Amino acid sequence: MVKGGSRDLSSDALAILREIAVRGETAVRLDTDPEMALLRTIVDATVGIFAAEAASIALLDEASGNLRFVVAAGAQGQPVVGMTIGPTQGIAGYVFSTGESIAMADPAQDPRFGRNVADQTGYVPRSLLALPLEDGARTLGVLEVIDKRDGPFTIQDIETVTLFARQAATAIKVSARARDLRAVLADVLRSADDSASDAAVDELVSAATRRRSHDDRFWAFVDAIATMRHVSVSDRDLAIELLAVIGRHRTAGGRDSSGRLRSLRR
Amino acid sequence: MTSEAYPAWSEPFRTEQRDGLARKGPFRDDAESADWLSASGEGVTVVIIDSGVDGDHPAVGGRLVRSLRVEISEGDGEVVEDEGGDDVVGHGTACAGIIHGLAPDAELISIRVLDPNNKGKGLAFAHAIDWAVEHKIPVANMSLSSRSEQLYATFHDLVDQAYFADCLLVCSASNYLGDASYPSVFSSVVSVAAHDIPDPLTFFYNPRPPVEFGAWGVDVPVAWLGGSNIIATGNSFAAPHIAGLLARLRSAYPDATPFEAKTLLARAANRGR
Repeated sequence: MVKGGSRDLSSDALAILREIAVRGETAVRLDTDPEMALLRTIVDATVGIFAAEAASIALLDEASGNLRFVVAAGAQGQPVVGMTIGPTQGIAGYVFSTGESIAMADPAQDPRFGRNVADQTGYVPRSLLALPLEDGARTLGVLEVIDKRDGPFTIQDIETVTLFARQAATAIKVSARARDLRAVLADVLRSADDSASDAAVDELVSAATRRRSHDDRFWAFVDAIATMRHVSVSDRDLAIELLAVIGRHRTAGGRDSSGRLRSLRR
Repeated sequence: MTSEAYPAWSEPFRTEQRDGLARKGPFRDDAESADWLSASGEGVTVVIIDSGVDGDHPAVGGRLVRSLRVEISEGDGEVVEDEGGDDVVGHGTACAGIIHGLAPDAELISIRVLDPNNKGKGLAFAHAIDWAVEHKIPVANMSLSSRSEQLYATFHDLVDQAYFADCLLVCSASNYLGDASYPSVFSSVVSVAAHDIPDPLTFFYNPRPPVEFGAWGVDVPVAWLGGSNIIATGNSFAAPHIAGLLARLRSAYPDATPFEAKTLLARAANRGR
C-alpha cells in the first residue's frame, strides 16, 4: 500500500495520518515529561547511595551536537543544570566521546575541568566518577557523580553506578522513540507493508507531518497551554474558564461577547 | 552469542577473589624465572591508540617519536600525520606515561582516534589497528573499546591478523558492566582489567574468560593535559601497565609470538597475590 508514496493513498487516509501526527505532537508538547522525572530520580538515588555532593546527567543535544546538563541532585549539583559543553570537552566530554567510564581524585588538576566546570559553578570537587549513558553502540549522554563522602570512588562504585546509567539510558531511549513521531509513523507504515521502499515511507511521513505556515499560531497556542502545568490550580481554573468563554463566543459566531461574559459571572 | 551478560570485569582481581587465581597449570613453581622483567623496552615501538599524546609531558620522557591520527570521511578512514599532534583529552598521555614508566627505552607512536566531532569512533579504532598490523608494531595499547555490533566481524578479523603478524594488541576491558566490548573480548588480544594494589609491577593472570590479565588500575597517579597529573581509576589505566611489561618482554625476546609472550607473561604473574 505504501509503495507508490502519497499518490497511492486516498485523501481520507492521508487526512487521518495528518490528524494522528497533529494529535501526537500536541500530546508530546503537553506531556509532563516522565523521562525527566525518572532521570531526576536516578540522580537523587545516586547522591543518596554515595552520600555524594552532587550527581548530574548531561545529554547529547542532537541539534547542536553539544552536551547539555539536564538534571542534577545534591547540594552542589544545581549550578550545572542548563550548562552546555562540547562533545569532547572536559571529563564529561571524554566519557561521552570514548564511551569509557572514569573515576578521578582531585579532578580540578585537569586544566580543562578546572576552566570549564569548576570555574563556572564555583565548586572544586575532590573526587569524580563519570559514566556513559549507552544505547547499544550509541552514547546518549553522561552521568557524573561528585565527591563521595567516604574516600575516592572504586571500581565497584563504577559498576554500581553503571546500573543507574543503564536505567537512565533505557528511559531516554524509550522516551526518545515515543517522541519521534516521524519514526513511529514510519515504523507503522513499514509494518503495514514490508516491501515499502524507504523513499516511499519517507514521502508519506513527510506528507503526514508537514506543517503549513498558518499552523504556527496553533502550535503557539499548544505551547501556551503547556505552560499551564506550572501555574496554580486557581490560575488553571481561570484559564479553563477563559477558554470555555472563547469557545462559546466562537460557536455563537462572535456576536455578543460582553453578554456571555456577564452570564459566566452569574 | 554477543548479547550474553559478561561478569564484572575486575572481579577476579579483587582482594577477596585473588585466591581463585592460584595456578593449577604447569607454571605453578615457576614464577621467579622471568629474566625479561629487567629489560628496558629498548628496540621496541609501542603504539598508543587513544586521544593523542602530549609528547612534551615530563612523564612521556621525550620518547614520543610520531603522532598520527585517523581521518574518517564518508564511511572510510585513513591514517595520516597529526600535524602539531596533541592530546585532546589527557587520556592518551596518561597511558603513554604509564608505558614509559615501565619501559623507559621504548619508542612511542600515538594514533589519535578521537576527533572533536566524535565521528566514526569504532571505525577509527579499526583503521588504527590495521595500521599497527601493517607496520609490524610489536605492542599496541588500546585503552578504548567499541560496543558496536556492526564492527564485530571487522574487529574479529583484524585482531586475528594482528595475532599472526606478531602484533600484541593490549586492550582494556570496558568499565561498563555487562556488555561485550570489542576488541577486548577476543581471545587473540591481551585483555586487561584493574586491580587495586598500588604497584606497577604486580599483575595477575586469570585463567577464566573473558579478562586474562589484571594490572594496577585503581587510584593510579597519571599524566594528564597541559603537563598536569591526576589520580585516576579505570581499566583504561590497567592496560598500559601490561603494555609496558610486554615492551620489556619484546625487548628481551623480539621474536616471541603473541602465544609465547602471553605464556611468559602468565608465567611471571600472580607474585603479589
